[in-house]
Amino acid sequence: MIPPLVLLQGLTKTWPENGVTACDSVTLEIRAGEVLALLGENGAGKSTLVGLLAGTIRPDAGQVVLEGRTLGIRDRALDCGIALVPQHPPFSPELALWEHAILGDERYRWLGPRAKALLIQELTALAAPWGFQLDWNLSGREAGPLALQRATLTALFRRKPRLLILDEPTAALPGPEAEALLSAVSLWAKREQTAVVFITHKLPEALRWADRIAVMRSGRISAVVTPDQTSLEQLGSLLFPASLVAPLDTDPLPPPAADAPVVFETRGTRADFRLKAGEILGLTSLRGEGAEALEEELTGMSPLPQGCLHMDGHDVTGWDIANLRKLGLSYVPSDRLGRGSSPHSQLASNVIPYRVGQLARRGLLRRHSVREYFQDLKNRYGLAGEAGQRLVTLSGGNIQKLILAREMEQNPRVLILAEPSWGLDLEARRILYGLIRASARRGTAVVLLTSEPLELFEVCTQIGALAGGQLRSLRPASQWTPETLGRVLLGLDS
Amino acid sequence: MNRRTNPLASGIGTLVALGLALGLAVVLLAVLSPNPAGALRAFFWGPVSSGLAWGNLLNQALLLSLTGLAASLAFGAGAFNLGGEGQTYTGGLAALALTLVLPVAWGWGGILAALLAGVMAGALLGGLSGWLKVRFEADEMITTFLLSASAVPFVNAVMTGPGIGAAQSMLIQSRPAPEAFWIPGLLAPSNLHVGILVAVPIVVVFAVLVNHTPWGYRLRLMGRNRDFARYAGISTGIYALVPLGLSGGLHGLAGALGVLGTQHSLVQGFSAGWGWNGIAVALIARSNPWAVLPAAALLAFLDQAGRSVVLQGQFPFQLSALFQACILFFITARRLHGRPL
Amino acid sequence: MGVPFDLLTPLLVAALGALWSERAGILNIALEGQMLSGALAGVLTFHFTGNLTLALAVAVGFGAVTGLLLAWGTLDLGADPFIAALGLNLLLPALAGWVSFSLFGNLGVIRLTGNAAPVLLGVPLFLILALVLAGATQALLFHTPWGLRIRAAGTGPQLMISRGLDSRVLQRQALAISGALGALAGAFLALNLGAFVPGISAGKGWIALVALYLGMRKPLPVLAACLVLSWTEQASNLLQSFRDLPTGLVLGLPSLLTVVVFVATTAYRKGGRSKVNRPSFPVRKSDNRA
Repeated sequence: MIPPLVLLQGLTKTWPENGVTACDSVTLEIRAGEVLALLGENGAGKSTLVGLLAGTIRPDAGQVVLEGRTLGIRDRALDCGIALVPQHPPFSPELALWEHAILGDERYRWLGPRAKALLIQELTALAAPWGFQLDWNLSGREAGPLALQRATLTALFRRKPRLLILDEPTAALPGPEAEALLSAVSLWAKREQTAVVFITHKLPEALRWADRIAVMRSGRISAVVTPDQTSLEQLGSLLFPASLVAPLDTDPLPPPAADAPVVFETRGTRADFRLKAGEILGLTSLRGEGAEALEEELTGMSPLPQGCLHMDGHDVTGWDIANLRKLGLSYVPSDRLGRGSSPHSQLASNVIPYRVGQLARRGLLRRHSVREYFQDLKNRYGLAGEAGQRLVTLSGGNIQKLILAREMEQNPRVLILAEPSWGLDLEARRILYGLIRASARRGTAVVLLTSEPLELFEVCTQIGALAGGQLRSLRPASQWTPETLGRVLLGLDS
Repeated sequence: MNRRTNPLASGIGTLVALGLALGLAVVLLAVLSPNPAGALRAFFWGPVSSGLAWGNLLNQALLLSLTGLAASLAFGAGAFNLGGEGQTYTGGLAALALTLVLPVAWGWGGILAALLAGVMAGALLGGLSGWLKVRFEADEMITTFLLSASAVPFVNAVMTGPGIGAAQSMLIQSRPAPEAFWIPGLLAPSNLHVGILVAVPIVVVFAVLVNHTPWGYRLRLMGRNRDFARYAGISTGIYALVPLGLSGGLHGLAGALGVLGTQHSLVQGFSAGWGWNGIAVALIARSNPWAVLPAAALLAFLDQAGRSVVLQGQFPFQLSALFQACILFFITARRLHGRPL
Repeated sequence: MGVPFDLLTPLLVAALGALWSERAGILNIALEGQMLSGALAGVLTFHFTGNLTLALAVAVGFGAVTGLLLAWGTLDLGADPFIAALGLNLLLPALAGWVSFSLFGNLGVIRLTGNAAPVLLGVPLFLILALVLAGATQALLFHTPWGLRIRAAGTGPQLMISRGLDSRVLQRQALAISGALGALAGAFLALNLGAFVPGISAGKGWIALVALYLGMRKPLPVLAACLVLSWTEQASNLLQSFRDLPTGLVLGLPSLLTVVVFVATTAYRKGGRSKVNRPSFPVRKSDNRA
């Protein structure tokens, strides 16, 4: 039995910021000469696993064994032969692409015109089998994300790695070029007896090019199959299993009257919808397929690239969030600590930004009024912690509850939540969904943006699926099943 | 250029930095002075040993409170005001220039008008950087510094020019202001004067404003997490411009007070180093206006202690410079207060 | 009006010092103090030994040490580079004053005897050295692997980590070079004058930063910027004897010019801000609630 090229043993990583166990004792073999596809939903732990492999993240437990040798903390993964090409690689706006590509392994002591010409020649030859041509003289700023990804791929490939990890390498590539790239790395792996791991959500690609497919769910490898053992449908159901957590609130929300006014709608955009008071719309996509950008566009943080946005009959296209809030919009962001709170401030400070005017008496903000307000909120929403505590000391779930309470307390017309249950355990999710439904019952129109499609079944009245940046299908929740939703998201149906 | 780190230190780090500074000074005095006992006595006792000493000490403490408050307001809102020196200098010029044209009969009214002119001059300079930041996203750290650097030679030119320049003088300075506009002194012949006492109520007012009003809450939120402030609907434009304007205005006030109260004319270079002083105070006070008064008092004491040692011939080295240097060098060191690098 | 060699040389060398540090990602604000102390180091060494080479070497060595001190504070202690450098800028002049006082009993001018500023074929030696340093900077920073890595380190840690490289060593080296160049600039200034005058650096360390940004952070344009700035200074020196134009305006012009250039380049880099629509009707809070 030949030992595997790379062995991941019991790799575990829990993020301290939110208590999420991204990788739970993952054990996996990677064999010489093989191409392994890594599939999984967002939040399944793929990026963390790959980071652990490549040495950019330090594990809490477990180890990586490369060709029989356990990699220690001091070992640089790249020097040992593990190269990771991220989807959005780091770069310098000023350095040229060829400089990016040779950084770390320059091979010439003097980088004059002659060396530069020779190096560019070498880089071009290296990149040729993958079917792309780059202008190596472009600066990082001019090059654009695709060229940067390709330059990074060339750079790392040049270091002759034993294991090449590619994160969504074909996400932005048209069909023929994706083919060329995957076929080239496949040939390389076989020829050199190295290995390639690529993360993708394009199931047909995985079936076509991978020797083995590993599926991750909730921090664990839930299945490892070979293409001939499986099918598109089976993979789809592995990713989106039919079993559901039973909805705990068995009291269905009353549907709005047929002639009820539309509270929130978009027209002419990539994702058009019309939402009435009391409805909960869930919009979802796989990573990079369009749902993330909606968070910025629907809340006024970024301008709408096309089309218009209406709220309560007013055209609010291009309005900044400050004005949208005045009109009755509330927003729970995906970035809790960077955008949704002031992590080093007290809990009380974090719940009052919209209330400071009202809480002040004769211009002064009295400390006890602020504390009383916090205490009231704490009692009604079941928040954790004391008024004077710093926010970072709370767990991720409790931080989210606080943010949600603050936003809901405004009794908004429209409530937008982005990735609200990320990092929350079952109990916290249950409470979250309960609060969302309560809000809808009070007449708020809710938009829930998520990259975990299955949670939409817990709480939404309507579900919309995006793929390729566009809304493909929008139906009442009762007309969806996890399989049909999965198929639309994967681009298998529309 | 590296993204700036948040320069606010923790309590422990501040104490360590201060301790290092003081410890180093004491060690130097003890080891290198020909008369260690005398040197240490001059150091600790000198600043409070006479009316003159007290006067200078109080004057400096109050001036540092103003510049420290100015720097704190900017820091607290997440901005760096490095133009303190120029804003102070310009404020001094504006104040002096006004006294030269106002009718002498105005008396105290004239003094107040001149002080106001100083405030406005500084506020304009600071506010200009704030506007550049809002409109063009230009880094205020660089623009405040550069605008200040261009203001200083300008003031130098104007103050020696026609109408303002002094007749014959050892120092390069302007004509003195009319005596009617001289702020009465205290503890003569020290630098202290009645006007500088206004620093205390000003600091208190701002302390209340910053810590206990909705406006101050929003300001501090800007400094804590600008993204959150924007998300919460706080006008990032106004809350970037106003703190810088206020900061400049306070520097201008310090300059105006220095000119009208102590020297009664504009002496070239009188504001040298006043910007960095203010920043040191703000760093020790961690941008909390309540802590500015004690921090300024501490720094003023250290400064006067250093001077006292030199004056009494016990040690030629400018210990004050060493203090400030040590404080500035160590106070933001994350390793010293256990934070990761 | 020819090329003002005496004004150009120290400014150019100091600006090169600024360039090395900025490219590595840590702008060296302490140049002003390093210039002053380097001036004293050079003058003192020449005063006591009469050896010009030694004088320059001592200045360079001292400057490198101060650069390493800044590197220690920034990289090892995690201090904010700007503020730590401000501290250094306060310390060095005080140190210089102390040394001066201890050796000569006063804080005054130290005059040199003997020629401390030789001329080679009609061109001052110091200028030749400065131009050589500029050429070396261009060559080393932009045409060697080491220079490439320094420039990569200057854009942030991620890129270097992804290639398995350590930024800190390179940043330390860059700061040492920066300090050495700053001190050398001061030595050039004082030796050329033939004396150490307290405050001799007179803000040139800050003007060097101005020259850096005016010169787009590349050696050849920086040289051009230094030429322009030294012409400006020469012009203002000449004008001071005429008293017609307010010299303050002329002196303040470089900084003002840099603000304009800086703001313009920032606006260009960050692109036009997307238009935010204002509501067409007055919106009051709490008008709309569910």
